[in-house]
Amino acid sequence: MMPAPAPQLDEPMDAQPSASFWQDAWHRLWQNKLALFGLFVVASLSLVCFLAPLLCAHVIGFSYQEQNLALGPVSPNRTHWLGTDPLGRDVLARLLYGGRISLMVGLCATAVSLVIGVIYGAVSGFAGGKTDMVLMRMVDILYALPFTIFVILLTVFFGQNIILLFVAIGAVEWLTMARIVRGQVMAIKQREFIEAARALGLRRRRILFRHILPNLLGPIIVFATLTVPEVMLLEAFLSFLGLGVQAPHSSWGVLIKEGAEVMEEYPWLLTYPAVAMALTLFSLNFLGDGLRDALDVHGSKD
Amino acid sequence: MPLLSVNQLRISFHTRAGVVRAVQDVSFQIERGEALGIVGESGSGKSVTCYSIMGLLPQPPGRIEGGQAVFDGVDLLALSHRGLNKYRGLRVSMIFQDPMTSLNPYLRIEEQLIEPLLIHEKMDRPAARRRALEMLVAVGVTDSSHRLRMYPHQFSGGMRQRVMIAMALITKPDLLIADEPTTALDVTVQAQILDLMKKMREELGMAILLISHDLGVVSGFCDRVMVMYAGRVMESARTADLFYDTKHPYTRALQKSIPALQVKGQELYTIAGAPPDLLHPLAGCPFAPRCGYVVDYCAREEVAPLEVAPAHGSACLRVQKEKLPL
Amino acid sequence: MIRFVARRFLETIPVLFILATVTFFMMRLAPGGPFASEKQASKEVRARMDAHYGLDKPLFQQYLLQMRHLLQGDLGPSFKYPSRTVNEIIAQAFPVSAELGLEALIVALVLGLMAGMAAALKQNTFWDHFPMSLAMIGLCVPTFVMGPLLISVFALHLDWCNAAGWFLPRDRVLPALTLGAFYAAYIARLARGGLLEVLRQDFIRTARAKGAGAARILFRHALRGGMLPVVSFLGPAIAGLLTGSFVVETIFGIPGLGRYFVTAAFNRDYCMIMGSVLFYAAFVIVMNLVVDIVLVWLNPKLRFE
Repeated sequence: MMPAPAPQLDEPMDAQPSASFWQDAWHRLWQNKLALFGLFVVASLSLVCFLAPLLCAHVIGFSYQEQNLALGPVSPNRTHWLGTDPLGRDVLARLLYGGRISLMVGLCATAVSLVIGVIYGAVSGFAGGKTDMVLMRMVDILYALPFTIFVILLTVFFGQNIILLFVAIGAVEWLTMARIVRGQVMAIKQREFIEAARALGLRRRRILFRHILPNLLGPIIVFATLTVPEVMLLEAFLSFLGLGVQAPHSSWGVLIKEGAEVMEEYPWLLTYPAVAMALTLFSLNFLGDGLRDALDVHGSKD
Repeated sequence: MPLLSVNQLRISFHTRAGVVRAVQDVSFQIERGEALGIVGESGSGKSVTCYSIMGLLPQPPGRIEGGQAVFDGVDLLALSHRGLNKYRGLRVSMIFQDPMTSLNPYLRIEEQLIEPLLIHEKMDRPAARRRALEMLVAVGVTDSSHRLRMYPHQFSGGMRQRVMIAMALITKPDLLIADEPTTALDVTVQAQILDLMKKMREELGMAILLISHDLGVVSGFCDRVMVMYAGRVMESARTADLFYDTKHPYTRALQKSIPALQVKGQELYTIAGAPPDLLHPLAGCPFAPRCGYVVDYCAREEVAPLEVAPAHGSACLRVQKEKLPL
Repeated sequence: MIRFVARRFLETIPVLFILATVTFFMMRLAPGGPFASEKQASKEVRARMDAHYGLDKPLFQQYLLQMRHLLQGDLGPSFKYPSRTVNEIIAQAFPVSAELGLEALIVALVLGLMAGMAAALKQNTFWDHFPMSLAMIGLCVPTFVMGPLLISVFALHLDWCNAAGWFLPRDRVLPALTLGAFYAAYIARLARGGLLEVLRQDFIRTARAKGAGAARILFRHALRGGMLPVVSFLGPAIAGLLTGSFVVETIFGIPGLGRYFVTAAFNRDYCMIMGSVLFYAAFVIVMNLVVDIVLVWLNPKLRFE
C-alpha cells in the first residue's frame, strides 16, 4: 500500500505511535471498505450466534437437537428456512449453535496463544543474550513437531473436551506469535526513546510495560485477527477427524464434515455451513489485512 | 534553444486533508553545460520539480496539473514511460540524496554500474565492464576491478555516492540532476563529492541541476541559482548577482542564516515564523507573513517573477514596484 | 559455508533426541495403550502382546531400548500392522506422498507466483483484486470442502477424471489442485506483499531513473528481495506437502504417508507415532536448513556474516 501521502517529499515521515497515529489508523481503516465489511460481518454473525438460544426459541421455533426422524432431510422451505438434516434437525438452528462453538473456539484458542506467545516472546526479546537464545531454540525445536499428530494425541489421550480443544490449539498457535513479539521487542529496544527511558534510570519492568508493550499493540492486534481464522480452520480439520465437539453439539467444522459426506444428495447441508464459515474467515482476513495496512505493520507472518 | 526549458509547471498532491499545491507556475531554463542550483527549504517544491522531470513523481497522490519540461525539443512530461525511458539514464541522469538506500543491495556494483549501458547502448558485457572500470577510476574509487565484484553494503556512504555518480555519468548524459547529493554525507566527504562533480562536469561538459537546501553548497558550484519558497520561484539570477545584488527579501534572509557568514558570539539568525501551509495557501506573496519588508499590498496582490535587472528575476512586489533596496 | 552447514547438521541431533524423548514420555504417560481398545482380546492375549513388544518392562528400560533402536535407524515394528515395520511403511508410502506433494508444490508455485506478481505490479486494479480474491477463497475454504467440490464438478458432472484412485497420470490432477490451493493462496499473498515492500524502496527509483523498463525492474531489481518471504515460507510448506496430507489422501483414496501418521495417533501405535514425529521433524529441519542456505545466497548482506 502507498503510505499516506506526504505533503513534503523532502522530509522522511516520522511514524511514532501517538494519539494522531491511532486517529490516522482509524481513519485509514474507515476508508477501507473491505475491512469495514469484514468488521460488520464478524460483528453481526457473532451477535446472531450469541443470541442463538433466544432466536431458536422465539424466531426459528426449533432447537438444535430436536430430532424429527419421520421428517428426515428436507430442502429449505417455509418451516425450516435452511432445511433439515437426515435426523430431521433444523439446519439454521444447528448453524447458529455451531457458530457459537466455532467462534468461541476461535476466540478462546487465539486468546490462549496470545497470552503464551506475548509473554514468551516479550520475555525472550527483552532478556536478550543467553536466555533469548535458549528460549528461541526451544521454539525452533517445537516448530519441528508435527502439530496435527500432537493435537490428535492430546485429544485422543485426554478425551474430547472443549476446554482441552482450546488449550491444544492455543498451544499449537503461540509459536509464531512469540516470534513476532520477540522480533518487535528487539527492534523497539534499539530505538532512541527506549535509550532515553533507560538513561533516565527507569526500572526494567516499567520500561517493558509502559514503553515497549504499547508499541507492540499494532502487530499483536493484526496477528491476533489473522490467527482467529487459522484456529477456526484447525478446529474444522479436527472435526473432520472426528475429534471436534461431540454430538448433539456441533460446530461449523462438524456440520461441514457431515455435509460434505452427503453433498450429492443433500447439497444444502454442505452449502450453508461452508458459506457461513467461509464468510467469517473472509471477513476476519479482510479485517486483519485492513488493520495491517491501517496500523502500518510490515513483514510477513514468519 | 536551452537544453531544458521548464514552463509554468504546476504540481499538486491530492491527500486526505486536501490538495497540496506543491509546485506553482515554476519556469526555468538550463543551457548546455550550465550548472543551475535550486535552493529552498523542505517543502519548497524543489525536489518535486525534479522528480516530475524524471517521471519519478509518485502518481497518485502526485499530479502534474500543467506545464511542460522541454528537453532538447521534446516535452518530457507528455511522454509515456516507455518514451521517457529513451531519455532517462541516457541523456538525463539523476543522483539521489541517500546513497545508502539508492543502490540495490542484492546486486553487485558491476551489475548496477553497467546497467545503463546494457539498457541504452546495447553494449556487450566485456565492453561495458571496461567502461565501468574507467568510470570508477574517474570518480576516484581505488582498486576498482576488485570493487566491481563487491556489494553496496561493503562501501562507505561517500564511496556509494561516487558509485552513484559513476552510474549516472556512464552514458555521458547531457544533463545531470543531483537531488541533495551531499546532504546525507559527512562534512569532509561532502566537499570531496562536490569537487568530484565539478571535475566530472569539466571533463564531460554536461549541464547540472543541483538541488540543495544549502545556499553555501550551491554558491560554490553553480553558474546560476534559483530560490524557491512554498512551491514558487522567488528569485533567480547569476550566482554573483544573487549574492551581491539580491532582489528578494527571502534570499536575503537565507543568506543571513548561513552560520559561517555571521559574527562570532552573536545569536544565530533564523527566519521568524513558520514555513508556509501549502494546504491553505494565502493570497498574495507566500513569504509575506515572515517578511521584514512587508507592506499592506504584499498580502493582497498576486505576484509572479519578473525580470528586474538583466537576467535577474524576482517575485517581490516591492522590488518590482518600488525598486526596494535590500 | 560448509562449516555453517556442518554445524547445523550437528545441531539436528540433539533436537531430534529431545523430540524423541518428549514424544516417548508423552505417549506413555497418557492413559490407554495400543491393545487396550481391542475389546475382544482377552486379558491374557493382551498381556502376551505387551510382553511380545516389551511393553511390560519398566518404562525407563523401554525408553533406553527404543533409543538404542532409534540410534541404529530402526524405528521398530508397527502394532497396528504387525507384519510390517515402521521403516517399511514409511519407505512404501513416502514416495506416493512425495509425488503428490511435489505436484501440489508446482501448482502452488506457478499459480501463487503469477498471481502475486500480477497483483503487486498492477496494484489496486482488476489484476490485483481478482487474483487476491481467489487467494482469499483458497485460504478460507477447508481442504475437505475443496476436495469434494472439485470431485463433484470435474469428476461427477464433467466426467473429466476419476473421483478417487491413484493409478493414471490424470488421477494426480484433482488431488494436486486440492492440496496446492491453500499453498498457492498463501504464496500469492506473500509474493504480493514482498514485492510491494521492495517496489517502494529507493533503489527501485534509481532503476527507474536509469531508464529500466517494467520487466527489468521486476525481474532484475525487485524479484530477489520480494521473494524472501516466499522462500522462508517454502521451508515448512515443502515439509508439510511432501510428508502427506491426511485429508487429501482420505478423500481421494491415495495410499500416502499422511493417513498412516494420523491413524497411528488414533491407534496409539507407539513406534509408528515415534517414526512419524521423527521423520517429519527431520524433514522440517532439513528443509529449514535448505531455506536458510537459499536465503543467504539471495541476500548478499547475510553472505558476509
